[in-house]
Amino acid sequence: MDKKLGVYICSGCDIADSVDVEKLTKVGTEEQKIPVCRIHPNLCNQEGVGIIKKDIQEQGVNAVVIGACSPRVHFDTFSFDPSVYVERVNLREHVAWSHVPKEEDTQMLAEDYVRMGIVKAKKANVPKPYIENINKTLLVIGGGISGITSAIEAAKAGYKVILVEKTPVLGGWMRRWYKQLPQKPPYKELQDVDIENKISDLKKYPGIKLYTSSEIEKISGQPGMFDVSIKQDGKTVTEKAGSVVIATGWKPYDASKIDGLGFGKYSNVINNVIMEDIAVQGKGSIKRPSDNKEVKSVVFVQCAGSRDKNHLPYCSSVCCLASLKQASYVRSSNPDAKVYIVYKDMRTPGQYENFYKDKQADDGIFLTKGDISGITENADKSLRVNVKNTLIGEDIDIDADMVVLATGMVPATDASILNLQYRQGKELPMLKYGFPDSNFICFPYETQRTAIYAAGCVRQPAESKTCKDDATGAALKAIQAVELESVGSAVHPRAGDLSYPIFFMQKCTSCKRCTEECPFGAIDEDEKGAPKPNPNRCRRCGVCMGACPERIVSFDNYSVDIVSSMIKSIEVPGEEDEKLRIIALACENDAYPAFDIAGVNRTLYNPNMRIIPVRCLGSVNIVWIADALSKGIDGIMLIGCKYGDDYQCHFIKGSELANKRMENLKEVLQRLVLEPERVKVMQLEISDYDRIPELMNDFMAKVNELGPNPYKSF
Amino acid sequence: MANNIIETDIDFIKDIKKLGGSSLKNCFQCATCSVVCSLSSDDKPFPRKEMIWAQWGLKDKLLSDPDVWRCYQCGDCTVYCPRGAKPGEVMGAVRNYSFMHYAVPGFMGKALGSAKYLPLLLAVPVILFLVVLQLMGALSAVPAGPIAFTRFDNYVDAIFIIVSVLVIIAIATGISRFWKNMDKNNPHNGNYGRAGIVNSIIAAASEVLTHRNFKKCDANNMRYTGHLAIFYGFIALFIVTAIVFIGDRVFQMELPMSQMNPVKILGNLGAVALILGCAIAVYNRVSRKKQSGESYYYDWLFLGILSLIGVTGLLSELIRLSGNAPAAYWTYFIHLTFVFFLIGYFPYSKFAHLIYRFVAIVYARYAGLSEPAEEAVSGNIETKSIA
Amino acid sequence: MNNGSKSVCVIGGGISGITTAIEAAEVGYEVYLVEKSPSLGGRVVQMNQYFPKLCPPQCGIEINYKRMRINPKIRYFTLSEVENISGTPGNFDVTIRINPRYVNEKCTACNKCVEVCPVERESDYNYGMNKTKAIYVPHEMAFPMKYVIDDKVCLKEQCAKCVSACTYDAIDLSIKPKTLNIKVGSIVLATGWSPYDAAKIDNLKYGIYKNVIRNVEMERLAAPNGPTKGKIKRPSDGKEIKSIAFIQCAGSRDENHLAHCSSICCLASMKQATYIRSQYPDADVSIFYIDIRATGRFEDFYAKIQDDNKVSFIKGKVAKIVEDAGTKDLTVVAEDILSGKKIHKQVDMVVLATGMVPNGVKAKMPADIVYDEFGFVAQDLQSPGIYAAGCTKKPADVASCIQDATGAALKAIQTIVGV
Repeated sequence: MDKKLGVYICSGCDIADSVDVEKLTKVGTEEQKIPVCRIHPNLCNQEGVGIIKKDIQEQGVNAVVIGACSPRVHFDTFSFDPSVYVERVNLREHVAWSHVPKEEDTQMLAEDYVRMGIVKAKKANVPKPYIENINKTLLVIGGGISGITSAIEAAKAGYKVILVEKTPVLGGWMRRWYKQLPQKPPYKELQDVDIENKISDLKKYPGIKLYTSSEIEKISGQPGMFDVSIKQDGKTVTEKAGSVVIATGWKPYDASKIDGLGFGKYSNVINNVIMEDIAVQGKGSIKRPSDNKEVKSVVFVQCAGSRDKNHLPYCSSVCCLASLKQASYVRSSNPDAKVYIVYKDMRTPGQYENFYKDKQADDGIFLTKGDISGITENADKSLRVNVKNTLIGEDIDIDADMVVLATGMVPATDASILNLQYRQGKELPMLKYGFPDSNFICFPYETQRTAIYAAGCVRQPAESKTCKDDATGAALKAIQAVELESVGSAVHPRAGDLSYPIFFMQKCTSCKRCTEECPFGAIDEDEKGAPKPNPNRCRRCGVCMGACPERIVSFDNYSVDIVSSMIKSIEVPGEEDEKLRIIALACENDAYPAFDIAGVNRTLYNPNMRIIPVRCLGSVNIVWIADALSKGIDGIMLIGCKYGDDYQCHFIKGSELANKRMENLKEVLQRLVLEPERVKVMQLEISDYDRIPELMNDFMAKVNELGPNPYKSF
Repeated sequence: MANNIIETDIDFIKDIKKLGGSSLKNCFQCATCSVVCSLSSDDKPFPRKEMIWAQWGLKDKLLSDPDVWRCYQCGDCTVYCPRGAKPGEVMGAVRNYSFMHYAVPGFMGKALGSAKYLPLLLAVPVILFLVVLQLMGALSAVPAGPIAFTRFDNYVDAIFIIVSVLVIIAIATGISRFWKNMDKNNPHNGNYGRAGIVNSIIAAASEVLTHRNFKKCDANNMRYTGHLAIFYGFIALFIVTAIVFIGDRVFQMELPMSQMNPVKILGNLGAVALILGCAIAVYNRVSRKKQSGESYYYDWLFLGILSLIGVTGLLSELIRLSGNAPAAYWTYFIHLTFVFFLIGYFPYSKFAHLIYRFVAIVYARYAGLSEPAEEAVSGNIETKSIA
Repeated sequence: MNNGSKSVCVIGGGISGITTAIEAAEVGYEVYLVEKSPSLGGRVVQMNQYFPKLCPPQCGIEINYKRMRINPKIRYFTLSEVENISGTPGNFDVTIRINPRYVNEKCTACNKCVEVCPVERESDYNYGMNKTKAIYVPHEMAFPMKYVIDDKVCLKEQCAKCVSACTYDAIDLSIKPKTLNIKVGSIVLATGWSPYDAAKIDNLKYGIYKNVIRNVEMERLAAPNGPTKGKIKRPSDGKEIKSIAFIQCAGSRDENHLAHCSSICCLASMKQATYIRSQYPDADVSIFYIDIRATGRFEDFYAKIQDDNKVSFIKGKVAKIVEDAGTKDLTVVAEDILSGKKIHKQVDMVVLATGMVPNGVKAKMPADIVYDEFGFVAQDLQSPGIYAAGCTKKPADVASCIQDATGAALKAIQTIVGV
C-alpha cells in the first residue's frame, strides 16, 4: 500500500511561543513535499484528533507525523486504526520546554526533529507480526513443591502441563520433612506436611501429564513450539510445549567442605536435612546416629556454609526458621532436652517473627549470637562446641549429644536441566552463585531465555510458602508468554510489539556476530554459520541489528536504514556558521524519558543536539556513527543504561555491548584521522535528568575543543 | 584455652518464671532495657545481660550479680521492652529467688515462697505466744489497770529476743554466702578494694537512705513514693520500738507515753507513713499493671504483712485509747503476730531485699565494679511518664 | 454463570497493583485498576533508589507505564476508591467512587495554573517536607501526567484564578464525585502500606527533635526531585552531614508498635547509608540493629556495605536520644551488646528505620477480608475470588512484591477462566 503522510503540528503548550510553527510546516510542505500539513492550537483535544481522523478517512492518510508532545503522553489520544503508522515528534518536552524560545537554534532544532520524524514515517511501516501455530502447553521441570504448584496453578487456569520429575516420586524435599513451618496465621504452630494432599490434588487434573523418573534429553525450537525430548526409563518420548518453568529446586550445601565443624568426621554432627530424616524415622523421637540414643542436648549451628565468602556468600533465608522448627522436634521428643541455637543474626522476616517468638519461649531452647570456633568429639561421641563472641559476655563451650549444621541451599543448576538446542548453550545463563540471571528487582521473572522461567529455590532460597507464591507467578509468566506469542507479540519488556527482526540473508557473511551477541540466545546457526533466527525467542531489542556489519537485520518500523536516513536528514550548518551539531542516540526506556522530565522541569540545555531514540543502545549500528560523521556531525553521544554487575539494561547486555563496540570503533576513527573523543558512550539513569545540562555542556566543550568535524566540507 | 562449659538449668528458669519472671524467654536481646534504665551503668549495663543469663538458666551468674540488686524495678525497661519480656520483673524474680537461695535454713526459703505454708507460718507465732501466755497465766485474765502494751511485751520479749538472735545468725550466714559468691564470680579488677570497706558501707548507706537511685526511675515514680513512705515509716517505727524497749527496760520509762511525747508523735507518723506507703504500693500494683508489672504471691505476702502491721498497730493504739482492754490486747496480739512474721521470717521473705541490696551495693563499691550512671549522663535525659 | 465477568478489578495502583494489572492484561484479560491518589506508582515512586542495585525505581516503572499505555485491556481510575463489593467469585459488583480531579483531559500539563494559584498545601509526595500549590502535579514523573486540585485547601469559586489562566479550558471547579459500577470476576487487593507513625515511639523523639527523621523522608531528601533536590542536609539548619545514625526496628518487631518484622528496613538503611557515603565521603554512618536481615542474595549488599570502613554496624537498639538544645546535635544511646558496654554517640542526624503498616489496618475493604493479627490479608484463610498482592499480604521488598503480584494475577485469572 502506498504511503500517504500527514504532518500535524500542535501550537499549544508553549510550542508556538517557542518556535515559528508556520516555518515548521514548510519543512513538510516544501522540503519533504508532504501533501497534508496542518497546524492546530490544541491537537490533543477532540477537534484536533478529529482533524487527523478525518484526513485518515477522507484523504487516505496512513502515516501520521504528530509534532506535539512526547510520545510518553497522549499515547491513547493519538492511536488510530492499527493500519495507520504514527510517528511522534517531541516538540514540547524536547524543544519548547527545554530551550530558549524564539532563538534561531531552537527553531533549527524543531525543524530537524520534524525532518527526522517525516523521514522515519516515510521509511517505517506498521509491523506485520510473526504468527505461527502456538502450542500453549507448559513444561514444568521439577516435581517438588514449586513444580507441583506451578503445574496445579496453570491447570486451574485451563492450561495443559507436562510435569517432568527426575526421581520416581513427586514431592521433592517436602516429602522428607517431618513437619512444616506454619503456613497461616498466627504463624506459630508447626503443621503436618501436606505434600501428599498436593500430589493427589495434582493428579485430579487431567491436563497435567506426569513424567516421573524422567529427565529432559533436549529442548529444541522456540517458545510456543518447543520440541521436548524426555528420557524415561531409557526410552525417549517427545512432547510439544510452549513455555517452560524450571523448578528443579536446591541441594544442601556439602558441609564437609567447611573446616572445623566436623561434618563427615564426627558421627553425631549432621546437617538439617538429616535431622528431618531422623525425626521421620523416629516418628518424632530424636535419636543420634552414633548409638541411637535419644538426645538430651543438641546444638544448632546457623549459617553453616551460608553467608560465608568461602562457601555460599548469600543467605539461605530458611535456615533460621528450619532450626527453630527442628529445635521444637527435639523438645517435643524429650521435654528435658536442651537445644542451643548459635546464630549470626536471627532472620525470621515478616509474620514469621511470631514463629521465632513462639519457639524461643520454650524453656529448653537457648539462643545466642555467636561464632563457632571449633567442634571436638568427646570420648562418648558427644561433642564439645566452642562458641565465641556470645551475648552471654564470655566465650563458652557447650557439650551436646548431637550437632545440627544449618546448611544452606545450593540452587540445583549445576546438572543439565534444559538441554536447550540453542547456539548459545544448553542452560539458563547464570547471574551469580548458580542462580539464573534476571532483572531481579523490577522484573524478577525475566531470564535470558524467552518463555523459560525459574521458580522456587532454583531462583532464590526460600521457604515453602514463598516458593508456592513464586511458582504461581512463574506459571503466570509461562502462560502469558504463550498467549503473547500466539498473537505474534514480543514478551516483556516489549510486550505488545509486533515487529520482529527480519534477516536479509543474501548479504549475510556468516560473521556470527548476531548469533553470539544476542542476549537471549534467539539466533541459532546453520552448518555454515549463517544465522537461523527464532522470532519467538526474540525480545526485539535490536542487538542483532546493531551487531550486523552488513546491515541485513531490520524490523518493519526500526532499521539501520531508517535511523541512517534520520541522521542524514539533519541540516548540518557549514563550517563557516560555527554551529556544532551533535546527535544523541538515546535509550528509549531511560535516557529518552530523562530528557522529557528535564523538559517538564523546564531545564534548559544546549540546543545543538538532536536526540534519536533507540530501542536499546545495543541496537546502535556503527554505520550510524559513520553516517553521522560523514554528514559532518561533530559529535555523537550514545546514552544508555548502567552496565556491569548491577546492570540496569532491560536487555541485559545491550549497553555493555554498545560500549564494547565503540571501544573497537576508536581505532577506526583514528585511522580516519578523527578524534575518538567525538564519540562518547554515557550512562544515564532515568532519574538523572538534572545532570543533563552539565553532561551536554561537558561534551559540547570537548567537541568545541576538537573543533568542527573536518568532514563537514566534503 | 578451654572455655567455661555452659550449664543451663531449666529448673531454675521454671523457678524464676514462677517467682515473677514468667515472660523471661521472650527477650531477643535488643538491649532497649539497658538503655532506658536510668540506673544502668555505661561499663556494665543491665538488665540485658541478666536477661540472657536468665533465659539460659545461668543461675550462678545471676545469684552473684550485684547489678540484680541495683534494679529498683521501676518498670522503665518493662514499659519499653519490644518483646514483652518484662526485664524489670525478671530482675525482681531473680531477687526473690536469691532470698530463698541464700536463706539458712533452706527450707524456710521454700516455706515463704508458697501460699500453702502461710497458715503454718502464721501458726508458729500464734502458738508460741499462746503457749507463753498460758504458761505465764496471762491468758485467763485481762491485766487490770490502764492498758499498757508493755505488760504484754513482758510476756513475749523472750521470744523476740531469741528469734532476733536466730535471725541475725541466719542473715549473717546468708550475707556471707552472698558476698563470697559475688567475690568468686565477678572478675577482680584494678579497683578491687580500693574504696575500702568502711567507705563502701557509708556510700551504700547514703544511697539507700536517700533513695537516690530509686528516684531516677522514670516509668513508675509512684512506686518510688510508696517505697519511700514505707521505708521511712518503717525506720521511724523501728526507732520508736528501740526507744521504747530501751526506755522501758533500762530507764523504767513511763508507758504508754503521752500522745504529745515526740517519740509518740514519731511513732504515729511512722505508722501513718507505713500505711499510706502500703496503700500506694497496693494501688500501684493493682491499677497500674503496665508499669508495675505482674504481682505474685511473694510480693503480696510482704506487702500484706507490712500493711497489716501498720493497720493493727494503729488499731491497737486506738482501741487502747478507747479503753476496751480485752479488744486492745487481742488486737495487739494480732499485731505482734505480724511483727513476728516480719522479723522472724525476715531473712527468707522479700523483706530481706533490704539487706541483700545493701550488701550488693557495698560489694559493688568495694569491688570497684562500675558506678551507676552518673547524673551527667542520666540527668539530662528528658523523661516522660507513660500515661 | 452466564452473567459473570471475565474482568479483574485491582485495588491499589502501587507497584504490586500495577504489576497484577499488567500481567493479567498481557495474558489477555480486561483489568480495572483503582487508585486512591491522583497518580499511579504508590510508594516506590517516592523512593530514590532500589536496593541492592541502587537504581532508580522510575526505570522499571517507566517500562510498566509503557506496558500500560499500549495495552487497551487496562483501564485505570485515579482518585478513586472502592465503595462497595458484592456478589460472588466470577460475578462481583464493585462500586467505585471517582473523586473529582477538577482538571479534565484537556489539560496539557503546561503549568500556567500553578503560577497563579494563591494557596499552598503540604506535599504528600515529599512527606510534608515542602509545599505545592492547591493545584499541582504530584511529581514530574507522575502517571498520568495530569494536574489535580486538592479540594481540602482550594478556595474554589471564590478564587478560580486557575480557571481563567487555563487556555485549554481544562479546569472545572464544579465537578462532583461520580460513582461507577463495574462487574468483575475477581478482585485483587494491592492497597499496600504506610510508614509507621514514628511519633508514637515516644523515646525516639520523632516530631520533637527536628533532626530525627524517618527512612521514607530520607528517600525524599536523597531524591533529585525531592525537597532538597537530592542534597541531603539536616532539617534543623541545613548543615552538611558528618555523622548519622540509623535506628533499626523503629516500631517494627516491637509489640508496643508493630509486632511483625517489616523485612525491608535493614536493607533500606544500608541503601541510605550509601546515599550519605556518596554525598559525604568523610561522613560516619552508624547502623544500630537487633538482627541484620538481609536474606538471600541481599547478603551481598550487606557484605558490600560492611566493607565500607566508615559504616559501622552496632548490635543494640537505640532506645534513647538526647538533643543538644543549642546545636541540635543528637546523642543516641545504645548498648553495644557484643562489647557489653553502653555507647553514647553524638551525630548530626538520626534516621528511624520505621516499618510498614498494612493499609488494610485502617482502610478496611467493604468485603469479607480475613486479616492476620498484624493487619495483613491472611490469604490462606481468605475465600476465593479475592486475592491480595504484595505488601497487602506481607511486608516485602519490591522484587518479592512483584513476584507475588504476578502470582496474584494468575489466581485472579483462575477465578474467571471458567466464567
